Amino acid sequence: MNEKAGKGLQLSWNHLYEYGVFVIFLLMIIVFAFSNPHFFTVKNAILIVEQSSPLMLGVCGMAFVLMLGGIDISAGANMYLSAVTSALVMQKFAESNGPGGSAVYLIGIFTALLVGAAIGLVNGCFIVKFKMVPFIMTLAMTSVLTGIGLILTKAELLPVRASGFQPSSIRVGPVSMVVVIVLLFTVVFHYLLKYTVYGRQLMAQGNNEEAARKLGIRTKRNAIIAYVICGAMAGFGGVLSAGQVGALSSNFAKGNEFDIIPAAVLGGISLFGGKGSILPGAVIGIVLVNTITNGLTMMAANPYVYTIVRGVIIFIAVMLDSMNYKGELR
Amino acid sequence: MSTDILTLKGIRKSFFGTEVLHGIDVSIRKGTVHGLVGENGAGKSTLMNVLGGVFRPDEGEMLVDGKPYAPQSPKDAQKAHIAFVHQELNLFSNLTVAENLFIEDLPLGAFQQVKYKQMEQETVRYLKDFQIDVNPKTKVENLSMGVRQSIEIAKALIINADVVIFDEPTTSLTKVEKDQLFRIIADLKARNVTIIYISHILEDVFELCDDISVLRDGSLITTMPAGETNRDALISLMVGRKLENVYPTVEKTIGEEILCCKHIASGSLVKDAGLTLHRGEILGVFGLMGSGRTELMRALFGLDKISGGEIIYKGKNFTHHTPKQAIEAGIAFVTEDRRDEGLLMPKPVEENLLLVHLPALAGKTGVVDQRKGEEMADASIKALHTKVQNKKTQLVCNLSGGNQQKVVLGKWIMHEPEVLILDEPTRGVDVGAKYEIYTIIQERAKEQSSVLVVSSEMEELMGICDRIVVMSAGRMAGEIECSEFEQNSIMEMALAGGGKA
Ligand SMILES: Nc1ncnc2c1ncn2[C@@H]1O[C@H](COP(=O)(O)OP(=O)(O)OP(=O)(O)O)[C@@H](O)[C@H]1O
Ligand SMILES: [Mg+2]
Repeated sequence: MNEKAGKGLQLSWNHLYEYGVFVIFLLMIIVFAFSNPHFFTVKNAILIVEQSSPLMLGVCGMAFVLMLGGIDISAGANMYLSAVTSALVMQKFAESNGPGGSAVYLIGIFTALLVGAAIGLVNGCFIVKFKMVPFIMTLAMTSVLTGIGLILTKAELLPVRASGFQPSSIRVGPVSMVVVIVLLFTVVFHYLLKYTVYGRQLMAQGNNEEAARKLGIRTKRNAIIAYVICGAMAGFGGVLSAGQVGALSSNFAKGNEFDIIPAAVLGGISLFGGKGSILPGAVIGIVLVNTITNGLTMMAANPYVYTIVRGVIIFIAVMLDSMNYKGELR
Repeated sequence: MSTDILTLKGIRKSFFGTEVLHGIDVSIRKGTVHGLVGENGAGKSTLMNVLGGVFRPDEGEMLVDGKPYAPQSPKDAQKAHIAFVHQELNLFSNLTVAENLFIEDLPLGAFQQVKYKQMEQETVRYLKDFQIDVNPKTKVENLSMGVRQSIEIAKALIINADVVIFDEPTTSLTKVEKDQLFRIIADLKARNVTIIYISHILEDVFELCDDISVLRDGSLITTMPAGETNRDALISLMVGRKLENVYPTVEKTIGEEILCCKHIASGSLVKDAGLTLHRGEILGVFGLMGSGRTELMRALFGLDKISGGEIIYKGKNFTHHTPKQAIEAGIAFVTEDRRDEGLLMPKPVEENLLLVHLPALAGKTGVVDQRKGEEMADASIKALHTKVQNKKTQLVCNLSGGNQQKVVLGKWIMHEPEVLILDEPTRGVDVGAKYEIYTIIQERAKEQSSVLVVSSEMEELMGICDRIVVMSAGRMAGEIECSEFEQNSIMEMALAGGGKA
């Protein structure tokens, strides 16, 4: 009898862990829907998806780093600097009499990807080669990137639309092109993680690095690539987000890593490495986080409330992750 | 001379400036089973890691089939058809059985995607040869230690190996699984595969091996045909001195009852178990794999929930306690799965040793008494002959397998517990150290502590215990006093409940 009760309890914990995210999601939607009639509308849903999209790219990249048991705190600052450099490059092209229109935009996006990837490469190399703690390394990087960004912009508002870059204005059915691109990337990265040698070996080394090394898996190379992917996707997300916002303030993308990381963790990707997947977990995670922001804005709540809520989200995400974690702590 | 498949010449290897292999020369004959024995930390695993391409030697050369061989990575070793079953498990618990088997060489389709279907089918087919019956989609974290080790062995043999290295492959195998392994080894030998077999269980070494090499403190002492030596001679070669007794004896008295449990039920394996333990008594708990012996110990320590029955400790009810309360009440538990549960791998030896004792060392002020801690760590290292170069800087993960075990033991014994629960205390530990551990157990008992020893080695229990209780299928199957110890009757009791050997 007692034995059964014990099992029942265990089962419900597991269920809570597995479906807890969905339950929270549902409860929030109900609360918001009752407090503002405009919340539960198709229009608003599309808005949320649009807003989530650039960050979704960040989550995709972050998934790879988390899979290793690493972390990249510099994602937000990376988005900022990538967007800034990309905007400056596009501005230069728009001023000169070189190619115009979409060619410039492509160059802009390419710049952001490149800058992001370079940042990721530096992160990855320091963490892997010099065995630096990922948290500290990327924290330091955050400071460096923000500083460079501020110098480049002279801490002034940098218009992005001046060059005409506005990817969110190109519509594909009910949503913008940004959403479509992001969905495409999400699927590709999910596939990369789940069905390719690289993805599988990354998960393996996130679980037991020593063993992976003994099997001859190229753990260092894999880890660096993970940070490069993470950086490149943050950069890409940054430029797309810049296109949505229209102008870059010095606060642009600030603290985004604290949306990205909890979103991934809420979606079931473990901070301890080796667990979780991008679809559907991480997607739900980021939409959830953005739904909450959106709902709070609509309720016209005190803007500082969001800071608290964000803290609570991180807390819940990490708690769920730790509760389900059995094994030695790194 | 029969042909040598492997020749090692002057192999030297240092870690952080300390040389652990001092120029090893050894040749291994093709198609033989070659035993490699030595104390914990003698360098057996290191030598094999050099051979398996995990470490590069500082000096020396190797020949495979007469051709120079200098592996830069484990991959190179595989290319040379050398398979390696490591001492510690190298499986990825978050992946499935199939993924684990193929992780280095996943079958890919046209879009670079892993072909799961094919991989899983091959897994089933392949594991059938080893009589391992698991779903290829099961995650490894859900498998028992024994099955994991069997899978690890099967995985190593997936390459068409000419040489197979087994580094202590039997530590978590059940009797059936071990017999299965021995059949596999015989089978390999029949196919002219060469085998290097490392073990601390000398009976197994004698049963399997044609030649035996002895390693002591990083030097090769000798290589000889197994037929030309015996157990005692081998032991003295290993430890460099003669060991008179296998089991120490001390004069001690058995006092009043300290712990008593009745009708304990816990989890699915412990159904109705009970035992009484007296001060100064060494009580052995024997049972076959799956009899619930380990689970009973976990329940006693508070690691698993108790769903029925009661525990009386020092005359008071002590049934639903947490491990922390158990430790505070003077109970210590050395688990079977030391690597995962007992150690902080990336931390230095001293820190690991003092872990349990820290609150006591801190006393009322909350400041840890460093000097005292250091002394105690030194004492523990000395008592157990743990091979440590520098207790403050050497990380536990850099110790040899057997020495890691000693650190776990040392950690608990230092706390001078009143009830010491030991689950397989000598697994993976060399003969000399076994003696030390037995001595420590006896000494604890002499100081009126009580010791509960779980072991699957019946001889060991008969050698050190005052009394043995036998468990079978989650219940007590019998009890025998020291004077009446007899192998057959114990085994009969263990089998009585229908447990499998
Ligand atoms: N990675 C490492 N870094 C530093 N020292 C090491 C490392 N690996 C092993 N050693 C040291 O080398 C010595 C030999 O270790 P090894 O693992 O080869 O012993 P062993 O003979 O396999 O012992 P056991 O029977 O306990 O497994 C030990 O003293 C150990 O501390
Ligand atoms: Mg070893």
